[in-house]
Amino acid sequence: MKSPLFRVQISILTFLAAAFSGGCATLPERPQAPASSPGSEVKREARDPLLALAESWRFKARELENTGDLPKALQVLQIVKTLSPEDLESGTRIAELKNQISAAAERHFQKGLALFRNHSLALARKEFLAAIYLKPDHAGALHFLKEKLPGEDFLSYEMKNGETLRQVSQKIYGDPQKDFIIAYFNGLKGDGPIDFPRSLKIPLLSPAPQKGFSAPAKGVVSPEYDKPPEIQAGLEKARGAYREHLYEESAALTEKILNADPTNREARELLNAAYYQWGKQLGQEKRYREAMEAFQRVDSGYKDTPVQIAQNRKEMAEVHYINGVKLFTQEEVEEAIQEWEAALTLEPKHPKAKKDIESARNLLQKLEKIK
Amino acid sequence: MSFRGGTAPIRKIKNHPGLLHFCFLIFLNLVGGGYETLSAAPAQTAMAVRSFQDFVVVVPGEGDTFSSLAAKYLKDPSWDWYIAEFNGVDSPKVGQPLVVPLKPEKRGGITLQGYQTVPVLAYHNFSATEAGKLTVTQAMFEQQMRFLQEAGYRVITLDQLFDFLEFRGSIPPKSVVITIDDGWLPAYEIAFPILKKYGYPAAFFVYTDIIGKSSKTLSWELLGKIADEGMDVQCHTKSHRNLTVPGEKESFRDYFENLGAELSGCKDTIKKRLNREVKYLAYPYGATNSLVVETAKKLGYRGALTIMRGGNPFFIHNFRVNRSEIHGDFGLSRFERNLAVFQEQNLR
Repeated sequence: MKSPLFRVQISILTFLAAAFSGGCATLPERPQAPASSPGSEVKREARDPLLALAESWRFKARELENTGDLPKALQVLQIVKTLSPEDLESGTRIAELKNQISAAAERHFQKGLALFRNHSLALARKEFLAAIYLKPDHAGALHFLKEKLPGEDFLSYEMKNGETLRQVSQKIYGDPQKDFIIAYFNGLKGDGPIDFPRSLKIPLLSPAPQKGFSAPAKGVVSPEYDKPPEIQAGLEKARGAYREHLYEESAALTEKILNADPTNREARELLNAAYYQWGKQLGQEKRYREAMEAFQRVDSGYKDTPVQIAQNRKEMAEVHYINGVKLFTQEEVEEAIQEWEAALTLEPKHPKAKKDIESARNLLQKLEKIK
Repeated sequence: MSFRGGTAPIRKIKNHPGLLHFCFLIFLNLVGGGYETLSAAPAQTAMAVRSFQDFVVVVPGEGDTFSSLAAKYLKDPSWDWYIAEFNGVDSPKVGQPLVVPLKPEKRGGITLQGYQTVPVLAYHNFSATEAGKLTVTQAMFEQQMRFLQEAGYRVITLDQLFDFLEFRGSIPPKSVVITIDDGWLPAYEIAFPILKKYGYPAAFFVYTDIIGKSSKTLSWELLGKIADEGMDVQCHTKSHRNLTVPGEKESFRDYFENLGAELSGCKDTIKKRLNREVKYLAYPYGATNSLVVETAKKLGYRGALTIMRGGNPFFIHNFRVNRSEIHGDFGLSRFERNLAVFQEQNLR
């Protein structure tokens, strides 16, 4: 698709050509000093290719503004202003656009913050993206997009006076002996002195740090446990479908969540689980090819997925082999060979397919000779 | 003089782009002063240049491409896409002035219609003729690389990817990263020559315990050659254990110490054997969790890659970068499904 600029490039050429139309064979006149009358101004502009270029880019800036693309409009207008320094109108518009962009970026950012606090993470992301598009150096929007929204891998914990790492470890991990982890990540020695107050970064352990640990302890901030309502609802629905063994539906619902929130780890895990179980279900129903396709959607590190794929491939090969035998008994020798070849493709070490193909081909040759 | 009055000369000039070009050069000479470079004669590949602080105006001559303009003015031919996009044209036309911004930037690949995503492809092993789930045949790999070229994809390095993820650098709109895991010999014998043929960089994620240990694996010498040819050699841990699961007879403390050894051992060995810094980690089996992420960060890694299928917007977690495994039974259409480079989202 051509941009607005492309559409005006013909006019640039037209403009330049018009400027040259006095005849390129002879050198054109040197441009005259700006005259006071409007007619002279038009004449001067028509002879200045840079001003012609400025005019076309001014047109582009207007089009960009009309489509709401303010940062690009500003960029283009700045080029116009450089090409045509006397263009006061562009200068004024640049200042206005800068203010407009700053205000719009701040509006989006504040809206994003409010949505983030309401746990509407997907909508918050959209607002932060809009803010950073308008102002690429918007540090706040970038911080939320990169640090806050994906979820952090650690808890922040404020140690109280006199508290020990073992006590903190007990509180967070339910195990005082994991204090060495807290010490390692905070540059402390397990039994060394601690200056209070002290903020600790404590990595989350997987599975959940403490049995029944459903909410962060007081003084602990854990975005991991916060989910936006729409994502939460979607996940709940997907989990419900999973519990009812409606794995295909669960996978489809989870994929929708991932489209809206590509970094959602819980959805990723559920997607793997759903496709895995669906694959198993299809395998039990002897729908081996579909089962293989479902397992292909599962990340290969998940459970025994490679084993399941191999198993289904083997079963599928067996189906082809038996089909071949049936066809052979019906004297459909060529079709039987095709089935056995399909079996061999899936299972190159199939114990009988290769031998039967050879026998069938021999038979075909003999029949050919008899004819 | 009106536009209408100038139509006859336009027709003549349009048939003679060289003449138009010449006229433009003469005009630039006459109209302004202080031109940095200015061709006085209508040489076919000459370019009129007017330099400003933030951009230059150029008039392409015969044979000029966006790539040659980018090489000349931006010192990097791979910025050709930016000049095209900025000017809204598909190819430079002789005599048609272009604006080349000198500080090109499109961080995050964000537009009002959505944002860029970068696919990272994960290969494991290669074979001359026999495909397997994680083994791609030579012919298929060649076909896939050719497809990338013909469809206009740009293969970028991990450094470029992470500059993009950290919102520091801009990359071409159809960027893709190629990675090869483990350290099997066919990565050198089969994939490497094809990558070289197309001029594609790739990252070889090796687990150091197998290097030089068998006739089926890469040696340090071969890895050195690969690295000397501009490929990345990065970590896939020391022994390829699942980093998220403690061993059956391993205490938690031992597990944690071994986790550190897996990550630092691999890094240190590559540094020692190849004298190259390691910045990136590919998790064995793509498996990770918060403890692994925090440990990798603590040990100085810049980022790490999983095998979660999907592209990467700039706001993806640096230690949970998605990668799409390319399997041996993928046809081209299935391969192409792993190459999404843009996620639509109305940002107005």
